[in-house]
Order: sequence, then structure tokens, then C-alpha cells
Amino acid sequence: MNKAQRSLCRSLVLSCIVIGYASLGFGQTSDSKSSAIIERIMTTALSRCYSTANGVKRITFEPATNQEFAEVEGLGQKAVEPLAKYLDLQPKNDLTQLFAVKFLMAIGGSSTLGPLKRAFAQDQWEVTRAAALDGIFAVSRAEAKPYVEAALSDGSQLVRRRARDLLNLYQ
Amino acid sequence: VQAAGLTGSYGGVKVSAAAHASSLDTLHFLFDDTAGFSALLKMFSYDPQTKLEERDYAVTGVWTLRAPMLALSNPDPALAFPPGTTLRPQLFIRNTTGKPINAAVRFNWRTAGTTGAAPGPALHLNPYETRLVDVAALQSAGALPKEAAWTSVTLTTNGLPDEIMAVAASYDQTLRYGAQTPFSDQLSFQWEGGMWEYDPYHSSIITAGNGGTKPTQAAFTIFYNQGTQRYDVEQTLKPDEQMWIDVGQLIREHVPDKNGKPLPSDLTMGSYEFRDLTNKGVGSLFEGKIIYDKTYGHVAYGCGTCCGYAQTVVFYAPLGVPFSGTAGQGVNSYQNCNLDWEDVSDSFWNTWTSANTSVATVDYYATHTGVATGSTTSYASAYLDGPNRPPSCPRQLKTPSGGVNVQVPTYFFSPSAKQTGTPSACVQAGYTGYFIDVSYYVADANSGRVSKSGMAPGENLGGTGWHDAYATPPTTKSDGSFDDTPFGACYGTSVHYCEAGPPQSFRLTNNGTVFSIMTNTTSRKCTDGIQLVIQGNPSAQNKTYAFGNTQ
Repeated sequence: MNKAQRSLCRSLVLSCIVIGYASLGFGQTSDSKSSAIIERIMTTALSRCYSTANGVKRITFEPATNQEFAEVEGLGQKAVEPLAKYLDLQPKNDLTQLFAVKFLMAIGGSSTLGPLKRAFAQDQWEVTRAAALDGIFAVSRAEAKPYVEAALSDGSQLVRRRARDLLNLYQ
Repeated sequence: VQAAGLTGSYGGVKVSAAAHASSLDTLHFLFDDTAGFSALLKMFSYDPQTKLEERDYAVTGVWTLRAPMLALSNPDPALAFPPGTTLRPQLFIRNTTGKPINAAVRFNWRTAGTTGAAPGPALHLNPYETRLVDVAALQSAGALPKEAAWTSVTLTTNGLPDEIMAVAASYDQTLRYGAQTPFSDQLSFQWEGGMWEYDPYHSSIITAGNGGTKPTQAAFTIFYNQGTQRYDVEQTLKPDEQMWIDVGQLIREHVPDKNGKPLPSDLTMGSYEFRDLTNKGVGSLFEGKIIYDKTYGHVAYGCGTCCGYAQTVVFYAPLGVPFSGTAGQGVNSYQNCNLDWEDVSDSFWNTWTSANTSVATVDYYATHTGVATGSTTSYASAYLDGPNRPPSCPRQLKTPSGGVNVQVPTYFFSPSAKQTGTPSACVQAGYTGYFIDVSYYVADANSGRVSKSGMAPGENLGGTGWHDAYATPPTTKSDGSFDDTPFGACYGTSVHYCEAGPPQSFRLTNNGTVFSIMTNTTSRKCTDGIQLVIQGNPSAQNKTYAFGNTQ
């Protein structure tokens, strides 16, 4: 990791600490240890997305490893609130929110519905929103129905396409 | 009757033909000039080929007939007969065969506020005998409450279908006031009713009952304003219990439906429908309707039309089942009232068998499990209400089947890829890039699509290790599809720049079994374009995507 990337990762973690502690009201319990683990996993996963090739800075989406998913799943409900805080980071780094959604989907369960709905909001990246729609659907088809129907006329072609796919699964 | 010297005041009539009997139609009516009375007498068709299982809708092992709305001695005030009118309800039950037949009668009566059951007489009918059962006398004797205005009559017999025929009639002494109610064995999951009326001179009563042996949830719908609006009621019915719909009362008293909506107070006509919400393939509802004329005292009985199923087809033909994995199968059938295909899978549960259990097994719910690579067939069989002899809908044995291919996931093929928006992370000074969303499906070695949800695609980029939750969604959808998104890179340069992406290899995990996937990709990612080469598949399924400038 070069200096610029380290700086970016540090700023991401700092942003979490400074901005992300407003109560989200989702009712999950977490602790400082769980939050620290999530921050480490997020930082590591994000760091793989930033590299330098031939002197040119590169940003690409590298998926989280099996080990990282297993660690998040191991934390279970304790990971929901720390992950949810990444969804409200300002300014947004879209890969951050996408990782948060993918980890929330791995946890699953009704406690992730609130954060996933937040991730589906219009101020999120369309790739994050499409993934969040999948996540809501996976938790509860009934809860997802109004979101899927609304997404059919979404401004993003990617979200519209995902909504059409999901709508077919209701029939 | 006079010329033949027949005696008595009632009996049976048979019209038969040596051949082509189904080409005959009959009409039978009687009249009394003096009283100004006439009535149509229902004629019943007789099919000697009919089997009990086709007409034993409640699967009780005995053939059962019901007359749902027999008016009892003290008529319902809703009928607006003159005060003091007394009816004489009676049943005519005929043995159409040359052998003795036993039959039993039971009643489910109704007063203004209560309902109850009462046994009727057990009958031993001699060959060709027509027996009159005087229900009025039974009511006078206390077998039925004197204040009861209505009863349904249930007739069971040890005979075969149509070997006993019965009608029920209830008229006063003048024959001016009263009605008939026909017997029918038909139970159905859905009834479509014709017109009902309600105005100062007419009103309608509609009923549906549970002819089954278990409680059922019944839905009643009134359609009005040319079918554009509806009024919905639901009720749980115990066996033999009826829901009783006085349409005039609903309108007059502004009774709200289950959605809180009353019928318009100026409504005068419409149609109706009953649905059995508990039993889909073979329903348990019987129904009846009367429209009465308050001016002349005429009560006309009307029947709904039962609905049935025509063809049945399995959901997937063939069904792809992953080796050591599972896949669900189901059955759709074409419903002749809605004119649409309906899921009737639950009617076939516990009937599925596999022709070769060394290839695939199938459980109670039609979930197939792949045991070994290969093909076989699975079968199911069950009775559904059939549509072949409207207006009756005798049960038909349906035997859907379909091929089963136990598949080993072998490669991923991609039908399409689309450019996605550029992440804002790439919009920092000088960062440009192309990202795409690549759609994939799972296929077996025979290029058959493995349509199954819950399989986890994994990727390995440049030998850095397996990532088994990389896909969107992380596991396949029911059609076996998933997306690789986003796929691309941004670069911190303002000039055109490209580099080779890491080679991408795949695997698939299903129920803990990891399958090698022969698909792999190479890529070229540029500031203003991207190329993805999908290879390793059967040649027709290899593909190259190029977006933007990849030179």
C-alpha cells in the first residue's frame, strides 16, 4: 500500500469514528471489540482495491476473502451496527458502502433490513443499491416487494434490471 | 299415466336410448291449470361408466348428494310470503336400479340466529322405488326445530353415482308459494355464479357450504358495476356448515366487506363467485342461490358453474438437479374459469416417485436430489376437479411427469454484460475507468442450464485465493444466474492507459460440494474502456465483451 492509499484508508477509518456514531436505532448490540474487528476487515478489504501499476494509481473492486466473510459472519448481530455506520459516511466512497452491504448480506436476518434499506437510498452508488435490493429480498420477500416495485422505475438501469429479475421470483 | 293404468301420485321417469344417449336432451315440467302452477322438474343424466372416485369429492368412500336450500314449513320472512303461509317441504328419492339400495338423510337447519344438525331417516329403497320423505312431518314431530326456516339436506348412499336421484320441493297448499332445490354431488374449489337481483320487488339469497370432512376457509365475492368492483367476504366453515348471504340485507344495512367497503345502496344486480381457499385441486364447497319475486311469491333456484382443471404440466421439463444437490419441482394446471395456469403443486405432494432412484430421488414435496449423473423421469398422480363435462366437474386423475437430469455444474456462460456507472471513487482528479456488470448462468457438461438457487460461485483472481461470496447476489437465483459486478478499474491518469487484469478462474459450491468450473477469463482494463474474454467453455459459449477504447 502506498502513501496515498494508506492515507485514504486512514481517512476512511477516521471518518467512521468521527461521523458514524450517531445512534442508528436498529436495536442490535455491538461492542468496541466487534467494531474494531469490522474496522480492520473493512480497511483491509478496501486496501486491496487501491494499488499502483507502472506508476499509475489504480482503483478496482476486489472482493472480500472467504476469511473476511467468515469473520463477519462469526460476529453475527454484533457486526450489524458497525457495518451500518459505513453507509452514512460523508463523503461517500462507494466501494466502502458496497463492502458494507455485502457483509450485511452475509449476516442476513431481520436486523440487517434497516441498514440494507438505508443502502438502497438514492444517495448511494447504483451498484450498492442493486446489491442492497438483493439483500432486502433475501431477508424478506414481503418487505422487499414495495422496494422492488419502486425500483422498476428507478433512474438506474442496473437497479431496474435487478428489480425485474427479482419481480419474476414473486410469480 | 292414465292410459297405462298407473296408480299413485308420484314416481320416476326414465328416458333411454340403445345408442348415442348423450345426443338426447330432455325437458320435464308439470302444471296445474286451476292453481296457476307450473314447475320444471330436473332430469339427471346417468353414465354407467362413472366411477365413485370421480364423484366422491370429499373422499369419504360413499356417494353424497346435497340440496343446499330447502325452505322449511315456516318460511323465512325475507321471502315476503303472505303471513300465515305454510310450506310443505318434501323429498322425492328414487332408486334407478333393479337392486335395492340403502340411503341416509341428514339435515343442517337454520333459524334467524342459530344453526344445527339433525339426523333424518335411513332408507331402504326397493328396485326402482321412488320414496317420498315428508320433511314437514319430521319438523312437526320435532326432528327439526319449528322455527327453522331453511335446511340443507345431505343424502348418502351405498349405491354408485347417479343410481339414486333426488329432488326437494317446498310449496304451500295453493301451490302459489314455494320453491324447489335440486340435489347435486358437486363440490368445487371455485364456483362462478350468474346474476343476483335486489330491488323493491326482488331479492336474492346465496349460500355455500363445506361438503368436506375438515374445516375450510371460503371466500365469497360479489362483482358489480360491470365487474369493475368487488365485495369480499371470508368465513371459516366447519364440515356441513354454510355461509349464508342475504344480498338485500348487505345492501340495505351497508354491511362492510372484509376490506371495510359496503355495497352501494343503489345496487340492483351483479354476479358472484365462491372460492375454497384451503383446498385448491379438489375443492370442498357446494353452493346454491335463490332469487325471489315479492310480488308473485315466485322463488327461482339458480346454480353456479363449477370450475375445473384441464391440462397439467410440470414446472420444469426437464428438471435440472445438481449432483449431490436438490431442486424443487411443481405442477401447473390450466383452470377453465380464470383461463389461466395455476400452481396446484400441493395436490400432488406425497405422490411423487422417481423411475430410477439411483439417479435421482424425490421426496414428499417434490424436492429432487441428484444421486448420480444421468437422466430419469419422475411422476406424480392426484385427482383434480376436472372441466370435461360442464356444468359438472368430475374429478380426474392427473399424472404429470417430467424428465430429470442430474447435472454436474461445469461452466459459466454469459448472455450479456452492461456498463455500470463509474464509482465516484474514480472521479478524483485524473481517475477515469470503465466498470461492467457481467451476467452469468451455470451450465452442465451437456450445455443444460442448471436452474437452482443457493449455489455459491467463487472466483480466484491471479491465484490470490478463493472468494466464494464475490457474486451479486452471493448465491445463484432460482434460474441459476448471478452477476459479477462491478468488473473494471479506474486509473489515476488523464491519458489513455490500459493494463491486463488478473486472470480469473471459477468454482461453484453447492450444499458443501465444490465443483470445478472450466470457465476462466482474461481482461484488459483501460481508462476509457474494458475488454473481458470468457474462455474455457464449449466454443459456442466463449465470449468477448469490449466496451469503449481498449486499444
